Amino acid sequence: MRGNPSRLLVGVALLALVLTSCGGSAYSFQGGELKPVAPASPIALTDQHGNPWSLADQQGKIVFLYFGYTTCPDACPTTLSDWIEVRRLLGDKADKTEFVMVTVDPERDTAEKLNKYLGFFDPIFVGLTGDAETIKQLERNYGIVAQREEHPESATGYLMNHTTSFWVIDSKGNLRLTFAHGTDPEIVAEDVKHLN
Amino acid sequence: MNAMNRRGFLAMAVGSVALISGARTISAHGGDGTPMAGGMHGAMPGGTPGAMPMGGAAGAFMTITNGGSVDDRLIAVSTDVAQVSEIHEMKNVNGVMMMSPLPDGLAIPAGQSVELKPGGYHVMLIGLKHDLNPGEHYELKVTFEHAGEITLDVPIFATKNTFADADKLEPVMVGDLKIEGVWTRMAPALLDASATPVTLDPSATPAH
Repeated sequence: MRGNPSRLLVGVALLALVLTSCGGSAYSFQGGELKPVAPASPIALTDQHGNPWSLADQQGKIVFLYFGYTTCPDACPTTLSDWIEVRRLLGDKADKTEFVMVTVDPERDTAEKLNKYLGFFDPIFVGLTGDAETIKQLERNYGIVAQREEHPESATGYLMNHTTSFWVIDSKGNLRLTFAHGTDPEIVAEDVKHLN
Repeated sequence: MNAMNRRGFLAMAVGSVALISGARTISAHGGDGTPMAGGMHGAMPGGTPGAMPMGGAAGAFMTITNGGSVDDRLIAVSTDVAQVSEIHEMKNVNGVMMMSPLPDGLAIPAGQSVELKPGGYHVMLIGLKHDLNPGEHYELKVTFEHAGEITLDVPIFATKNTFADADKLEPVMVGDLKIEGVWTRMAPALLDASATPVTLDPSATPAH
């Protein structure tokens, strides 16, 4: 469409003003929405290929963030297979997303193990590991509870009790939404479609 | 303090309270090498505390109905697809997933149905020997205190929803117990090509 760019801009601005003042087309997020909008805490860890990964490098992409571990037989596979569905529902928008699992069990979850684990669900998923102190700090920053519980009577040796909800960070790096474990992928996808 | 920090702090505070109030004391012992009642297949692998068998983990789910007048208990589980099988309970307390082994097994009271399902009780397969892929099956032997043992055919599904939509296998009976809706979610074995599989102490294997 050719035309005077500034006129087009004014037209768009007026339309936006009308829409927001009427409130008619404002979308109501179904997930937990964080207000006011604030930047997500920095993340700098190692991905499942052994390469450095930082949240700052993901500007322009919507980042899904979950804290789990590979010995988890139930909660984590549920979230990861839900994410496969969310990704599918997002269609083209999936190209602008990153799905990231940070391990709460860096002692056992090496980059190689994360690679095998996440690759089983979808090789496009990112797995992050690092030193225990950095991860502990990250858990605090993101309000994640993750506690090791010793179980010498079990072959697992120890298990991790951990928060199972996940965060969504928008393409500008702001922490925007949180979803409870088991939220219908349709709901997640619908919300994320209204995020930039 | 911006909204994110405030919310994060709140989540952590709530979660911490949940952990403290939900703490469980595990009092079972298996140190003398004899098999523990409650689902341990073979002895604990030797090695450093915190070490676990090579391989990933998976959960098996089912519904067990006790149509008899005697309380029963699921006391042991075993399978060839994993190195160790145990019975576990999962609880989601204020958004924190807490899992604990049930060394005494799982009670199946007379006249009641007990469901092993995601987010609740499950059989935990530890140290998978190969990937569990959707569409495949494996065998799981379950042993009850009174009803005895039976080998179940366990189909593998991608998700709880694909299981829910699928045709179900016929229920199986063992004594007064009916077992139905048996399934497992897909899971990776996470095997390291160079790893030596842990060998269990044969003297501790329960007699079958």
